[in-house]
Amino acid sequence: MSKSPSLRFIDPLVLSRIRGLQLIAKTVVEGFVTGLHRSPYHGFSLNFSEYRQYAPGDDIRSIDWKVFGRTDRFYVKKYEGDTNCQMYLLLDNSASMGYASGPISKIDYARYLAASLSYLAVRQSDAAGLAAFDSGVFNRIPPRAQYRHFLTILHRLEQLELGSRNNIGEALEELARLIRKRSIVVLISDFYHEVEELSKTLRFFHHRGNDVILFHLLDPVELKMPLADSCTLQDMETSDYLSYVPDHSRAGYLELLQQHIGDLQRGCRDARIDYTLLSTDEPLDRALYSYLSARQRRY
Amino acid sequence: MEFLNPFFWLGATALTAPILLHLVRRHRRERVPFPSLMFLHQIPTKELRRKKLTHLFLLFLRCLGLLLIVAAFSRPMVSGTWFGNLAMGTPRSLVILIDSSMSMSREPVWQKASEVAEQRVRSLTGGDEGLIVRFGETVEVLSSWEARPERLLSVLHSRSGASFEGTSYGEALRVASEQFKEQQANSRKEIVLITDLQLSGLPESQKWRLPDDVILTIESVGEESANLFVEEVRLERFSFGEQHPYPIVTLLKSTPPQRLQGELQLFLEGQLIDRKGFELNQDGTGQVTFRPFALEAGPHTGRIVAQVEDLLPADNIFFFVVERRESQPITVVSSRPSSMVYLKSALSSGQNLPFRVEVVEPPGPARLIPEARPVLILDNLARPPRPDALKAYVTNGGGLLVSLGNSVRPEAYNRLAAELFPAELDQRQFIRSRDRNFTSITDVDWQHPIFSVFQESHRAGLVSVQFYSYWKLRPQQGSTVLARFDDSNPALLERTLGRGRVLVFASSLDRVWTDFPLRSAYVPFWHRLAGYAGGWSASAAAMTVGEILGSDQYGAKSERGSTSSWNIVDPNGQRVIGLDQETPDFVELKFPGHYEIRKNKKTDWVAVNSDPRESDLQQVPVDKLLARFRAERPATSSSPQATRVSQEEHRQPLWWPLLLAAALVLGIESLVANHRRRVIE
Repeated sequence: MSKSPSLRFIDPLVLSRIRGLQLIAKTVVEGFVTGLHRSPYHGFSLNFSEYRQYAPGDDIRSIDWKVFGRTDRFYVKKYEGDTNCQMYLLLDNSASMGYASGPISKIDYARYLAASLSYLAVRQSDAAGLAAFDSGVFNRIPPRAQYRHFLTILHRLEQLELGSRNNIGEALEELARLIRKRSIVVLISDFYHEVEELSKTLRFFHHRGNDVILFHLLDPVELKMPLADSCTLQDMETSDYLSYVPDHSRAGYLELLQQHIGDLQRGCRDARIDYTLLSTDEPLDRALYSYLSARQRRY
Repeated sequence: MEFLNPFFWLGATALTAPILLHLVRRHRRERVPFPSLMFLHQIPTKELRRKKLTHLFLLFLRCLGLLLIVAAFSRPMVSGTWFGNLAMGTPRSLVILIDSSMSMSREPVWQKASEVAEQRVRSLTGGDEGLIVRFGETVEVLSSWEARPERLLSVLHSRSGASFEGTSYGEALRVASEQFKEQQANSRKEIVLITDLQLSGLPESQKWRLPDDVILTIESVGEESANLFVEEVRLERFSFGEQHPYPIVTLLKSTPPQRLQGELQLFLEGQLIDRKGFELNQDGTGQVTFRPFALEAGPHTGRIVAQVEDLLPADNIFFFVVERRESQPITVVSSRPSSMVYLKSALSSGQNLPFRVEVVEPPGPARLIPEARPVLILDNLARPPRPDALKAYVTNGGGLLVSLGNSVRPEAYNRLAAELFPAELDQRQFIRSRDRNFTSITDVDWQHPIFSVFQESHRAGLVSVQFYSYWKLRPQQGSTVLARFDDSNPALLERTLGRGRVLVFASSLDRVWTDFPLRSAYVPFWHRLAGYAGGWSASAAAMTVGEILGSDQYGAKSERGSTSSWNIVDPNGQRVIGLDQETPDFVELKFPGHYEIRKNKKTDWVAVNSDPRESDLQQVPVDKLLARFRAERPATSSSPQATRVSQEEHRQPLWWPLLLAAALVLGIESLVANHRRRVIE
C-alpha cells in the first residue's frame, strides 16, 4: 500500500527500523509538521506575563535581579509561554500491551506515540509529563517544558518494561489525584476494562478541568481476528486459556469488540473526551492531529 | 494355538493409544498468546467433541499395526491344530521326563509337575507320539511310545507321587534320549524335562551330551525354599561293650543358611531317651551331641528327630540301627608267645574292637570253628599244624594268616601250597647290598581293603618300613599278590578258598626281620588285615535311599535253599520278598525308615535315610543345566521362560509373518498420513 510522501516517515514499520526514540520522535513530528498547511504554534508566545514572588523551588535563573535591586525582594519573571499547556502522557504498560502480530508491539507503538507527542509538546513549549501504569502507577515524571526533560521522558520510555495485569480504573483514579493542574491528559492503552467503570474515572478527570485524549491502541489481529486455524488462546495477563474455533468464535469476538469500542466511544463523547482508535499498522499522524485539536480547543 | 508370552497381550491396551491420540491430540492445541480473552467465550465441549474423530482410515491402520505387533510378541505357538501340523511339517516324538525325586514331593511342586505333564501329553496330535519316563537316582520308563494321549494320561495317573530318591539328571537324560532309537529318523525328537531344577542333581562333570537332533525343553515347576535337615549322624552300628562306644554327633543343616532353633530328640526302640536343643550357626549348620547310651544284646532301632516344620519332613528324621555284639577271638599260634608282644599290643589298641587276641602254642586250638575263631594266625611255625583241619576251617569261612620267619620249613608249607596256601616258598632273602641292607614294600594295591586306609601321605608310613629278610615266594594259580617288595617279590598274597581266605605275609611279625613293629603303619595294617581276614568291617548304622542291600549283607547267600524262611518288610509294612519268591541277589532300598529282615526266628534291621543332598533345595540355573547336556550349543537363555523361547523357536512360524505384516501396515500408514498432510498443506 502506497502512502503519501509526507507521511512516509511516520509509517510504524519505518519507525521500527530507526534506533532511538529521540530520532523517531523528531522524524515523526518534523514530518508531520512539514505536511501541515497551517502552523500548529497557536498561542505560542514569549511575552512577559507577570512577576511573582520567589518561592522555594523556583529556578533562580528566572529571578529578575533588577527588581531585586530596586525592591530588595526576589521576584521571578513569568512568561506566557510557560503556562501555555501541560500534557500528561499516561501509558498503559500491562502485559497485554506486549502483543504483536507483526514487527511492532502495542507497547512499542505506544512508546513512539508518547515520544512523538512529548517532542511535539516541547517544540511548542508545552510541558510534558509521563506516567506508566498497569495495576498501579509508576515511573511518573512531572511535566516540564525543557528539552532536557524531554530526554528524560525518552529515557524512561526506553527503560519501560511490561507489567502485569491491567487495572486501569484504580490506576487512573490514583493519577487523577496526582494531577493537580489542569492538563491535557493523553491516555494510551488497549482498554481491556469495563467501559462503565472506565467512563466513570475518565469523567472524574474531565470534571477536574483536564482535557482527556484517549488513544485506544489495538493490534490489527485484535481488530480483525484473522486467525484461520483453531487454536487455544492464552490471556497474556491472566494466563487463562480457551479454545478458539474460527467458525464459532470469530463472529462473537468481533461483535463484542465492536460493542466495546462503541461503548467506549459513547462514554467519551458523553464526557467530552477525545477518543481515537489506533491500529499498530497505521501512521502516527492521526494521533498527533488529535492532540493538536485538543490543544487548540483549550487555547 | 498357545502363546509363549501370553502376557504380551496386555500390550493390546496400547490400542487405546492411537484412539486417544486421535481424540486428544486435536484437543491439545498449541497455546497462542492473546492480549485478552475478554471478548471470547468458552466453546461448549459438545461442539468441540464433534470435531474429534477424524481420519478413521489412519486410525484403523495404526490400531491394526499395533495389534499385529502385540500378536507377534506374544509368540503364538502352533500345535494341536491342523494349522500347527501344517506349520510343523514332521510328527513329534516327545519324551516327558518327570523328576520324581524327594524334593518334588513338596507342595505344590508335584501337583504342578503333574499338571504340566498332562498339558504336554494333551499337546500330542496327529502323528505325534509320546512316552513317559520318571526319574530320581534311578530311571523308570513308564510307558512305550504311544500316540493316544488318554493312554499316557492313565499311565501318569497310575504312578502319582514322588519317591524318596535323589536326583540324577545325567542318567535320566541319557535313558530318555535312548528311547528315540525306536522312533523314525525323520521325527522331531523332543524331551520335556519337568523338574524343580535341583542343583544336587547336576553332575560335576558330564561328558555325555544329548544328540544334536534332540530338543531339550525344561519346565521348571519348583522354587528354592528353606529346608532344615539332618545332614549326618556319626554312629557305629556295632558295639562290643555295654554301651555305644562314642558320643552320637548329629549334624544339622539349613539351606539357605538361616539361624533356626529347635529341639532334637533321640529315640531308641520307640522310647525317647534323650533330647537336646539346637541353634544353627550363621552358616546354617549346627551340631548336637548325645551322650552314649546303654545297649542290650542284639539289634535295636532308633531315630533322631528334629522338631521343626518345613516342606520336607522326611529329612528331619534320621533312622538308625545299633547292635550290641560280643567280640571274637583272633587266635595266634606261635612257638614263641613272648615275641607276640608287638602284634598283641597292636590288635588290642583302640576302642570298640570286634576282636580280642589270644596267643596259643602249637598245634593251636583243638577245634577250629570259623564262627568261634574267625581268624587264625600262624606265626613263624616250622610247619602248619593239622593241615586237614586248616583246610576245612578256611573252606567254612575262616580267615588264615601266615607269617613267615626263620623257623619256617619251606617243604612243609609247599606240600600244602596247591590246596591251601597262595604261594610256594622258594628261599630266604637276606638283603646285603653295597648301598643298603633292607628292602621296602613299594608296589601295593592301594585300592584293596587292607591298604585303602593308607591314603596319600599315610602311604609313606608303609613304604618306609625296612625289611632285612623275607621269604621269596612263588604265587600259586588263583592267588593274588596284594603287595610286593621293591625287588618285585611278593610281600603279601591272598587266596580265597571256599568261604574263607588265606593270606601269607612274606616276613616276620616281630622285629627280627623287619622294623615294622616300630612303625606307625603297623597298627592300622594289622587291624585291617585281621578285619579283612575275619570279615569284620565297620558297619554304618544307616543306609541311604537308593542303595542296594546285597544278599550277602542280610545273609541270604549262606542260607540258599531255605529262602522260604526269609522275609524283608519295608518301612511301609509291605513285604519286599514274598514267601514264594526266590531270594533275589539284592534288594533296593526305596523308603526311609527301618527295613525288617526276618530270618527264621531271628529279626534283623536295616535303617535307611533319604539322601541329604536331596534336601538341599538350591536350584541350578536353566542355562547351566542346558549347557551341561546340550551338544555344543551356546546357552542363550537366562530364565525358564527364555529357555522355552530358544527351544521352541521353530514352533513359532507366525512370528515373522506377523512382524512383516505389522511393518507393512505401518508403512502404508506412513504413506497415507504423509499424503494427507501434503493435501492439507
